[in-house]
Amino acid sequence: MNKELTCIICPNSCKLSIEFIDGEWNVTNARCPRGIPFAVQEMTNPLRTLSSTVKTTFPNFPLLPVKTSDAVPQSMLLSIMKILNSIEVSDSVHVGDVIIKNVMNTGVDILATCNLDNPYGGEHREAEEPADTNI
Amino acid sequence: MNLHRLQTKLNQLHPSFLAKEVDDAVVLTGNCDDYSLIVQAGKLAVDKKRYRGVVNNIHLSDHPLTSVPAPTFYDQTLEGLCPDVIIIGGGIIGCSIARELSKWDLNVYVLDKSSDVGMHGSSRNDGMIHPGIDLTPKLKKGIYNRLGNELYSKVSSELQVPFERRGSYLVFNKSWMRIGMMLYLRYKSSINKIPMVRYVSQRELLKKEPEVGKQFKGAAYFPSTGYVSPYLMTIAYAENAIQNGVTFSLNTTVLGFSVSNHHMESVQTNRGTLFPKVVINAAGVFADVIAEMANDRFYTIHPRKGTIAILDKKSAGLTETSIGDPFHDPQRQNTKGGGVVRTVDNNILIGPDAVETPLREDYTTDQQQLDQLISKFTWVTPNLNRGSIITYFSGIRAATYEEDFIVEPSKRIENFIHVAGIQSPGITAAPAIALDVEQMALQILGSYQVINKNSSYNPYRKSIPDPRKMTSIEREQLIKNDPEFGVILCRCEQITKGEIRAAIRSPLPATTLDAVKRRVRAGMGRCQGSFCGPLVLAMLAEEQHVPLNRIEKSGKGSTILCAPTKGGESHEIHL
Amino acid sequence: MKSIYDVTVIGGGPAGLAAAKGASSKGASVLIIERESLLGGILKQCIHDGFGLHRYHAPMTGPEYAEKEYQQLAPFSLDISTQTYVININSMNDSFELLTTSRFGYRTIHTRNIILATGCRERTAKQVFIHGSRPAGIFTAGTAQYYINRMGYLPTKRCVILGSGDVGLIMARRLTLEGATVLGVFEAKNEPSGLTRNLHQCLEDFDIPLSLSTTVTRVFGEERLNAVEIAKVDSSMNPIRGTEKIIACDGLILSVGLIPENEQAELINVQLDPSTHGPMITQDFMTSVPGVYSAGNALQVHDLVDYVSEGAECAGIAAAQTSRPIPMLIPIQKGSGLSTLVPQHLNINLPYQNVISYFRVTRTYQNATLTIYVDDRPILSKRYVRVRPPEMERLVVQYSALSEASIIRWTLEGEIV
Repeated sequence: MNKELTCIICPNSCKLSIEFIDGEWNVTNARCPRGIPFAVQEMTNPLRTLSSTVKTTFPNFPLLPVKTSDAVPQSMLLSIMKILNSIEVSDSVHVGDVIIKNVMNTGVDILATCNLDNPYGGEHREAEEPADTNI
Repeated sequence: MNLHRLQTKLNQLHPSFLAKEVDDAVVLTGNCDDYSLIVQAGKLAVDKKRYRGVVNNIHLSDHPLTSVPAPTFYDQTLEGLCPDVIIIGGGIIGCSIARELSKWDLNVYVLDKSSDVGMHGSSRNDGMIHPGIDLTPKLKKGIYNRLGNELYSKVSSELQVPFERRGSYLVFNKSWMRIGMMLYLRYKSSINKIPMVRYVSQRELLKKEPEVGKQFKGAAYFPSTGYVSPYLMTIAYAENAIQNGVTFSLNTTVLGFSVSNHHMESVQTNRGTLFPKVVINAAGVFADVIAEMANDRFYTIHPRKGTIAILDKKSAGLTETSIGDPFHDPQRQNTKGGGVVRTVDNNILIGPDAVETPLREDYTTDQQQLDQLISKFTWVTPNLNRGSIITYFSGIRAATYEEDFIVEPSKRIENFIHVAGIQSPGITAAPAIALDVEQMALQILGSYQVINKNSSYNPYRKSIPDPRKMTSIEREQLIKNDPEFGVILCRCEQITKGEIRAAIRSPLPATTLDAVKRRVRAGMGRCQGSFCGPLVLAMLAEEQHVPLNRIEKSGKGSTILCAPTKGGESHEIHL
Repeated sequence: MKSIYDVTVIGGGPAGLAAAKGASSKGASVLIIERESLLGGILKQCIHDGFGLHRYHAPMTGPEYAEKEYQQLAPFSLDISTQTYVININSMNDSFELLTTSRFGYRTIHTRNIILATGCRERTAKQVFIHGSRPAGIFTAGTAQYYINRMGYLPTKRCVILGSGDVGLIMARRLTLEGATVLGVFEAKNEPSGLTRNLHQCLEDFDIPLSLSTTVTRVFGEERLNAVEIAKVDSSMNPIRGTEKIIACDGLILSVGLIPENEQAELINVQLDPSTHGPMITQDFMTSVPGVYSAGNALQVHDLVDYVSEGAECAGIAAAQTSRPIPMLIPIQKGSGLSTLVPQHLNINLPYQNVISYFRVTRTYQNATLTIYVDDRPILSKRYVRVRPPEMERLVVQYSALSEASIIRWTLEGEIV
């Protein structure tokens, strides 16, 4: 029972073939060794990074984008989503700040991916000027 | 033809078709599964000398009986009211009548089943103010078209609705057509008492309209053709009426009448029963259904669908005016033929075509229709590029079998007026029809009471400020007073936040995305609302103090968003 | 606001930010004009990762990438004007006049150079000739993404996605994670458009079926969408009669292509390349109008924001040059196998030893060879195991000894898959 999957470690995107033979995983078609543990992981316990948003109490910026600091088991994605959907951020956070530490005991944190205070530099209003700029 | 001959001809169409004379109308009954035969039967039965109208009750098999769409809710907001006048229908006809009646000290109500005025025929046409060359003064259409066309400069100016009288061309591609056609058109100009058509040589045509096909040998030019935004005109009429005291009740469906002793006593709606002195039926495609409810139906609407496509403003060079070829009608449809039209907003509009349909409000489009439209008008302007189409839509004409307007008081009910069968040139004719119906209503009311003038009547309506059309000083002042007029929200059409806010706060407030679109064009550009849609939606929610997922695209049930993503409370957005 | 700027960047998304950095780093006085209230462009709503692998050697999300690119401006003092829109551009002798509008009114901005970083828009339902009624419930993928990621609302509960490009695939996953049901992704072509990684992680992971050679032809529903009609298509992507099927749903998400926004470019007669829908440029990212540069998705639709930033930064550096030699242009001809090729011209009066070039192929090839000829002499030959239209390729080319009469031609040959 042979499964085909595309390796995502590097842009080569090797089309790996993996099969469980004689008690161990056998991976073929990988052009470098990094593809092998990736393929085995995909078959035994696929890991995924998760990006989503969490509510904030700031009316001008109602959602804070977040991500997991590392990959988590694919099977836990929906449960982690539930947790993310239940919280609300009311402090000013910066990129990389931990929003939830060790979510669901995975050892992985939930991190903010933008600044809540002045996101992307905030608003830059054109300075009000006396009429020396001609129209 | 006499009834006997008619019956014979009907039997040739289908064995079940029967004709009867009832009062002054001819009534057809029967059952058939081919709608085109039903339409043919209706057309056969037309005899203006003999009958007041055709009541075509031939049933289309497996098709429900035509009725007004059921309301989605009921309440009592109008229960027990006694207005002087009820106008059923908030299209351009109903709104223009309301505005004329608002000159008088009367309590006028306009009822419309939709969530906004002008959502049907009035917003689904090419916006042309026709010269009326194809008509005759024997038709009400002809008379009202001429009068309406003449009135447009004045009314559009009073209502501050952009109107451009740029003229139009009908082209011909065979030299021999010139003499016959020009003679015929000169004759028509004369009998219709409209500005005289002018012959344009091929050379002049190509100079004035460089994009027209080189196969055309010449054209007839009509100086009195104008262009307007028909939905904006409808809205402007409504706003002026409201400013002068008229009440509009939207989402209001007429369900029935109480008539006794030739007098309409009450009007039942989903929002209560009203007791008006006069009722005006301006119900568009459903006018015959409304008439039937009052037991006063002497005509039948047979819906005729027209499809229109809009091209990107980059194609505006295709014409300075509008160009049609009346001889090129590959589908042999009952239409003036439509044309390639430059709208007041500088888009190019092609169409409409004309297809009979049994469905009253079927606005679906299909690829075949669109392809035929494109090919028909590529013949007129060969550089018409299918890739420049930014949107397409359909409308339904409210046509009677007599193919003429019905603008007259009822002969059976003393306080009921019919304004029905207003197909093209309805937009052109509206200002004139409104004045006549005003007189009819006053005549009836005058017999019940003394009618005084509305001392605070103001015919001038202020449009929403358009920064693009102002002088720099006006604009600077506008933005200084309200900075939102400097911030662009709809980038394709360059519509500002201030204009959208004004549309939401206007006398007939825009409550849906499409209503905002009709008033200020946000969402009508290249990206068709991909960018500005969410922002307009947020403004609507903010103004209405409701969560974002309560805002609708057009009518009840057309909410855009489902639920907040975090399953919690909906929140307002500030942008 | 200055009385005149050396460089004005129209657009404050990733292209605009990198262009501003490039120009500022060379000492130019820079103004960024942005129509939204925040910088960052479309990245603000692209909360997924996959950005920055090349530029920062780290997998970043869109917002992180935007924050990082904004921080790059910290050492410089430049002016930034948000909620400002350019309505008109006038070309003068040696400069341009930009007429802008903002909450402070109409303003004229004088600038010596312009960088057009205006991004792109999405192809609409009407542009792919979807017919039927006009209900609520039809969204382009970017608009759906905005509703979900910036406003916090689901636009649909059960939907169908048309288009298997990355945007559509990303949305399939996002919608599912936020509780919607994605009934299927339909693709009119006979192969999927997106990255294989996304096919796995957005569709397979969630058991969302993908149907190729299928399109949506009609929609149903009076007020709100209640069904769509799908049909198989032939090799010319025309629907095949008799293959229609109805799918009940309340949402149709369209991911049917992006179109570079060049309305402002056209105001000043910048020549556009019909294959990219963006301006024709020379190796310094300058358009056919001297002093006007183009970068990012307005230049051509990119797949990787890293390439956007790289090109935009070059454009910024070029725009900051105080003097420009008279251009001497030779075209770079696009031969077989190539659908787009940027830059379209070389200015041989500018350095051309390291020309960053981008191309897309007309169809999927394997074991392909790209060859660049100068006067019929091959100067470069590169092999590609597999090359696909949805993946724009980047190549740095060393040209040498070119003259006015040189003829440059790129061709690609290989096995058609």
